[in-house]
Amino acid sequence: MNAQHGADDALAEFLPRSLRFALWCVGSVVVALIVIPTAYLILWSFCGTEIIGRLVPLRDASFKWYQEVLEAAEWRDAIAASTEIALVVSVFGACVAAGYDYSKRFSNRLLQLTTWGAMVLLLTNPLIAYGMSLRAAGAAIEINPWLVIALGHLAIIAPLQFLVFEAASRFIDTDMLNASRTLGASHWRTFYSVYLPNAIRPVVASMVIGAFVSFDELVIALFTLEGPTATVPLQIWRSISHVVEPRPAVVASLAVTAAAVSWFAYEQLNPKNARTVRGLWERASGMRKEAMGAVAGLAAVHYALPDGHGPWHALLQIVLHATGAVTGGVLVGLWKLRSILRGLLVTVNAEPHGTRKVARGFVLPGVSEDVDSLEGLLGGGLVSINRAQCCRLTAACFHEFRGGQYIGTDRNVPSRYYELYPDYLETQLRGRSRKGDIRIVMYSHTALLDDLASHPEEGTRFLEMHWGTGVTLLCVDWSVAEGAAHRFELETPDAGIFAREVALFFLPSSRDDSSRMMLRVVDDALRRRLQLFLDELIDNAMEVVRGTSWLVAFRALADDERSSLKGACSLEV
Amino acid sequence: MGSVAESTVKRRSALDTIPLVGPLAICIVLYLFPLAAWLISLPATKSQLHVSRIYYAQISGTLWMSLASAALAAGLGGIVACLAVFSQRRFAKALAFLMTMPLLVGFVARNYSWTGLLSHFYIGPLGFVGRLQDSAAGVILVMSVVFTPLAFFIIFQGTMRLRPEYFAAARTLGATDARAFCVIAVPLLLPSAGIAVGTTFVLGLGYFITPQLIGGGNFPFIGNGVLRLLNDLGDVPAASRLALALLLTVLVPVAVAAAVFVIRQGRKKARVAQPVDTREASA
Repeated sequence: MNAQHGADDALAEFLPRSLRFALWCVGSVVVALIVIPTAYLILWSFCGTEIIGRLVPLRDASFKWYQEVLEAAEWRDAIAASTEIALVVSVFGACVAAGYDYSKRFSNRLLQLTTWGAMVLLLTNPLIAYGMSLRAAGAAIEINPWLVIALGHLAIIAPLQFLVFEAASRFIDTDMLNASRTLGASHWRTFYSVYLPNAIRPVVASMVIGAFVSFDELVIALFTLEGPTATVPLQIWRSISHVVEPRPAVVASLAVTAAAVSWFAYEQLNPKNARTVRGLWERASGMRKEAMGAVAGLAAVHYALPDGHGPWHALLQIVLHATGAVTGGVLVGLWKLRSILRGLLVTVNAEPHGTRKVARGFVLPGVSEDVDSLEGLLGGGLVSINRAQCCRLTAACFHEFRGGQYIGTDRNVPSRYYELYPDYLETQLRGRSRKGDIRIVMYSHTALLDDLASHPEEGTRFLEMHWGTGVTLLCVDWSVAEGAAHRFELETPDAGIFAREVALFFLPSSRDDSSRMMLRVVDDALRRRLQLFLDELIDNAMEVVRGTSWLVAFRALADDERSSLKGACSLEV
Repeated sequence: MGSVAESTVKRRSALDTIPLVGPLAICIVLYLFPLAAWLISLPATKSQLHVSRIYYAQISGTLWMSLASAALAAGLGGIVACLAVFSQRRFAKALAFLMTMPLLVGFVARNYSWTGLLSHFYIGPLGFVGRLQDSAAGVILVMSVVFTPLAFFIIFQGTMRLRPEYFAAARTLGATDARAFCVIAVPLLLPSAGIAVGTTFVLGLGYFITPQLIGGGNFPFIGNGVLRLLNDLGDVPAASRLALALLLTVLVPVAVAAAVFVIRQGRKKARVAQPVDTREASA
């Protein structure tokens, strides 16, 4: 359904004229072969007669067959049954696919490959054999045939919905989900508040495709349903087995109309409108507890009311139901208000609890000239920041927590480090004791040796800065650090932790002179993940020490040294 | 610290795993379980069906007609996909709309529509069109047209690999646009065309609607055979065996293709990993 990916206007100029002409000629015939039968269905539904191949003139077109379909109980029942099954199955299938697409970002590759295999198996499954197997299973466990149909449809649409999400998943940034997790949001909160608003298009597309495929599914019904009640495709199949007349064309025309409406509705979900939808979603999600209260109130009144007849009773029922719903909603609203007033309700959105309050105290005085650009950062969000702001912010953190321990993980080799922070020693570490700090560099010892060989001056300055001041310098491979950060759901492995209180996360930006940063108060949720992350780094680290024959040597750590380092890196306050 | 770590990991894994296994659970509970129940319930009585000429005729008829319609559908879908990708975006969207509508309307309705449409052309200068009804050519043509939107979307996804830079580079190197199309676009689109042929072929193997409505029962596929055995003759064991033969016909090539894919992926991974190992060893 998404035409915009492959259709790049820039490609249009590269097709030679003769080939374009040939493609146009053949393509027009193909499109005609596809469109004409669909158009004929609509024409047939208005101008059809009891005799196949005979249509009344257009001026005599009427809604006669539509009226007949809507008046025929078997068609009405079939439409209702198919619609209900299609809606339930497509919504459920889309939820499963969305849940999988979200959680696969935190899973290992083997499970993803297995799921791919399972979906390919379902996709290549011949429906005739599947219908036979569902018939046998349904008979064996004696369940309602309608339930068998619904489950069968779910198995048929699952791979299609899965593929819709697979095609769309690269447009949903996993970094945003990791950022949300790093900021302390739970999986449910991240799924609901970050993932779903960004996945509106694949969710809608998978629901639409699932609903129409389920609506059109014939084989399962053919094998499991007996008796007069049928789904729409089965009703069409039974009908045309006897006589070819326009009633099925009426139902098919209604399906064409529904498909066209779905297409245009889907096309309206462009990025601009999606923002409005997201806004409505967020507003509605803020009221969902009240809505649940209203439903509970409605249900309570519904079950408490005695049976009765007459217009007055009906009116009373309506009034009491409305009163119950309003009362339920208001009660929940009052409960929420009470929670807010008592400070019990913690709102977790893009802003982590406490970051703004704590950070304002030291960041703003230190970098007052960057107030506007750092406002987002103070909220705990991930913001783009230029190199000067980055240096000032880091310096402000070092200054504020100059009495505390610094634990840093760094992805930059020494030469790159001095390229980014040329005045690091002079401005950022001035006047603070560095004894007890731990710095973990996240590149292989080969990369460090290469860098020392090519940039001996910066390398020596970097190493002496650590050895001369009592900093423990450790080295781990980037892949280990990246894997650990991914596993413990940190936005990035590159972080600086100041006095166990505040953490700065650094991400390189596509622009060379800027980076993306996130400032975060180390609360309980973040503390656990950071602690697990640091412990894993230490488990895989080697110490970088002064060499005897050359500048550096790498020393494997003993178990007790690792334990002692873990103790030194403990983030418990 | 240990207890905190363990509890965190446990909570993560539980929350991650529930939605993660959703599609797998659907496959196991809704596909493999019924399949197992069906295979277990297959009666052990011997049937002569597997040696009968009707069976071979149905298998071979299904195979060649499905293959022909799959190849034709991929060709037609590929042409429309090329037309879409080498056109302005608005035109491509219109083409995608025209291709989506029939896909959403469904197989039964479209075949039914063809039945009505062909009935207009039994006599007159276009009588040859009407004669497509009840003919093998008609079955193949209608099946191809019915599968074309599906093939279009598969190949259209494959067109994402085409980049304007490739063609610009070819032009800079002195190639004509026609040559650039042949040596860049065609090879890049071949894998998705192959997938389109495979998918529509598998779909065609289990198909029975077109052979029944357009073929008039003269060119029965395996699906038609199963339905006839089941509904008209009430011979459930024979219908089950025929359906099982169909399942194996489909699953064996799919399993072989999957094995080849896994082996090729493994080799590719090994090739990528090798230089890193060498560098580490030398260091």
